[in-house]
Amino acid sequence: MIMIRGCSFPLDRYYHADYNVWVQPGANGVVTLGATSYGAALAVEFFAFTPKAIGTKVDVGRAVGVLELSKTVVSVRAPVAGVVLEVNTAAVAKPEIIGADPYGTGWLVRLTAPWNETIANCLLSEATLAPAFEAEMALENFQGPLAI
Amino acid sequence: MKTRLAILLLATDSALPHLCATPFFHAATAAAMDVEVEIFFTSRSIKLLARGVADALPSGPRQRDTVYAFMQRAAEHGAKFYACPQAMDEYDVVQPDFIPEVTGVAGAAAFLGRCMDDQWATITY
Repeated sequence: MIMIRGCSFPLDRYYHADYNVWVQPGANGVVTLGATSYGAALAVEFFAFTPKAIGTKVDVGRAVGVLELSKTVVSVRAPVAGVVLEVNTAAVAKPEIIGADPYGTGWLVRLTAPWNETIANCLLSEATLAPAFEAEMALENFQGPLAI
Repeated sequence: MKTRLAILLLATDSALPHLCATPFFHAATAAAMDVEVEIFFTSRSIKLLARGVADALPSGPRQRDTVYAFMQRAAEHGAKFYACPQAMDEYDVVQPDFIPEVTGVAGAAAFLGRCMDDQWATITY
């Protein structure tokens, strides 16, 4: 795991800095997707999570769901194409777990998605994620998560 | 499933600012879900498109955000704003005074066209 401005980034998955999400390929072509700890820090508080319906086909860059925050909404965009296989009903019922445990119980959706080296190379991993997220955080003048 | 949404603002009145934020929050949410969103400003809602009006309206008693902030977020997510030409004439709102989020001018026929189209859902506020 690496830390960037107080936000953790486990190294067992891939990231997309613009969409502020992580994806983790698993067995049988299933890819799990969730928000980063940086995204959770920006959100501060999650009011609702509404995923796309199971079976929905999602192209790269399209929404797999919507997060409602205090006064705004955020698209959860897919960095890989796939079909929504499973949604985290626990996160729907208790959206606060998205912020509390974004890399664990707060995952958002699982997609059936082909995975290969080309896809992986389009995402951020250990060697590339730090400069990309550092640049994003600098752009937002992000100094670190608020102490709540 | 429908993937397009046309919103008609009829009773969204700057004199009742506590009613003004919700349509834009819904528009932003729909757009965030990749729904194509158009908002048609008619009657007194046209005033919200004049610079400085929505920016002076608190969205609620806690006054954390103005109505304009909600409008901006809807536009940032891709919602398009259309001004009714009859309402512009009635309420003396002219194009040079528009906020930059306005996409253009579109009248009754444009909204009714959406109502008659199976691909579009409609909501009136």
